[in-house]
Amino acid sequence: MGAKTVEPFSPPADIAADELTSPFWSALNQGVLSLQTCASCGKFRMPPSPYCPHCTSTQSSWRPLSGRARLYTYTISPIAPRDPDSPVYVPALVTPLEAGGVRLFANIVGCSPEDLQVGMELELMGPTGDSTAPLFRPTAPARDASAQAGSVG
Amino acid sequence: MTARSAIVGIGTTTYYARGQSWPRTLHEMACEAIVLAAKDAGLPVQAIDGFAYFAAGAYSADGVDTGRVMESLGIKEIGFSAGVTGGGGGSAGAVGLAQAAIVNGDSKYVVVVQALQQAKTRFGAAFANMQPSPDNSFFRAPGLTAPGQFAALIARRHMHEYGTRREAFAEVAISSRLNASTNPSAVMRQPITLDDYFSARMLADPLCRLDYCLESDGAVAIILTSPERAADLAQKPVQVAAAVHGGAGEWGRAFMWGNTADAVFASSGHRWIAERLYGKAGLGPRDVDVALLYDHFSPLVVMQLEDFGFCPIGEGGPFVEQGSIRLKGGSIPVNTHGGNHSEAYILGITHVVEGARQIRGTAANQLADVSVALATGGPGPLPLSAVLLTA
Repeated sequence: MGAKTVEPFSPPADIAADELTSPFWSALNQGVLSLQTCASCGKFRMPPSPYCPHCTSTQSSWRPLSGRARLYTYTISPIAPRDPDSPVYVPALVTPLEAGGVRLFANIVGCSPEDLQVGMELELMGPTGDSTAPLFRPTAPARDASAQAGSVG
Repeated sequence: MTARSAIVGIGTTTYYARGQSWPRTLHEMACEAIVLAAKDAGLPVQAIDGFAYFAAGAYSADGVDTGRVMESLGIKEIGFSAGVTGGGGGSAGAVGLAQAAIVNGDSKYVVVVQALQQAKTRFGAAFANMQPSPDNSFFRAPGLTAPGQFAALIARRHMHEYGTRREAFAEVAISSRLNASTNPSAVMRQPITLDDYFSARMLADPLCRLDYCLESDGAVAIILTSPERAADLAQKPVQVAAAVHGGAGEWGRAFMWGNTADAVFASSGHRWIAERLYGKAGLGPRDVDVALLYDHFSPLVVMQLEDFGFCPIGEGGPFVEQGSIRLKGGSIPVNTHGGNHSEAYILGITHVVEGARQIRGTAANQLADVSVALATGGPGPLPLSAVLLTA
């Protein structure tokens, strides 16, 4: 798949939201990662749901987070499966640092496929172009990190 | 433990590559499979008085309909018609559902039916075909449009945690195809090599095209009755030692949830199923002679070998790479019919068929001295399922 930079998924998927889920998408449109927490026990949950799976409370609130996360797992797929030279995108599960291990689906961008590593640190990007997905990029681009290591060595 | 039901009849149509069964209809193929199963059992088809399904209507409104089958085949009465919820994960569980009808006295002869015709809708694009909803928007937005991508997320995690190599996934694909090469009913019979595997198109890295099952058309029917009635029929009965469907909440919807517990993320979700199945049957992995493992995506076969206790957790990769699942010389031959990868994908029910044939002694690639066969359904969203068949 070459050393090309990975792209957001396209064409962008239409988002459907309801009362339960719209706070996530509204915050994301502002470039903020916000997750649902239980107003009773404080635990996060994802995707949003009417009951807390830990204490069955129906009371919840939304907590904005730093947007920093770790890469839990990912895959790499061609945007145009029938085109051998298609650009690729990276559907992933990321674990926000402050959310008690709760994960969300996202796209990784801003690096090449070879840079991807499970466990790498990520940060939320603001919406890019038409993409509707949460977009995360490596906090310290792997290429820069290796260049630094090279100059030191 | 004494079995409470037995498989007495098996019927299958020709298996077709996706779309190739046209102009046959789903209904007519289902009827053919049922008629063949009754004939196999030595029963008039009108003796069938119960229907058990799985994944009924999960992907298509154009499913098999009990009333319509009764009209076509002149079935006089039924005392049971129900389905296991979820998708292909419930395939082996439908056998247990049929047993429930028999044990409860609702029906005497229950048929498990599954039929597929993917002329219009492809399962491989199951999530892309969905209308956006508040729930699916969370995975559709990042472009998770196909089940294989979710399998890839699990496979990557298994590689990360245990050092599993793509060579292990390749071995699942290669051994399945080798088995299919001597199974006349298999759709794909041309053997493949490691070179073929590593030059195949990457669809959802680390999964390439050869990690995916087939997309098939066809129908399968399996008739069950009580062990007492089974003794009077045409075939040697295949006893249902145990059938389980269900699973643990920490696995949940798995694929579309993303929040499966860390301890079981890199698994097939079957540990709960295995424990209950072996417990019910009073059997363990060492007793199993052949394993028919639901193989929509090859990495999840590796993980099922771990979850069902054929090797320790995390060692599935080296286990398959050393030849353990081969028909010839393997310690636990897997998918002797070629599986969903190479024989056909009728939502996984073909694994139960192969298990029953291995017990009868009539499989295309018959193993010597088979007394216990395992067939599984899933991994996917709950329920998952499995069945142990004995002579």
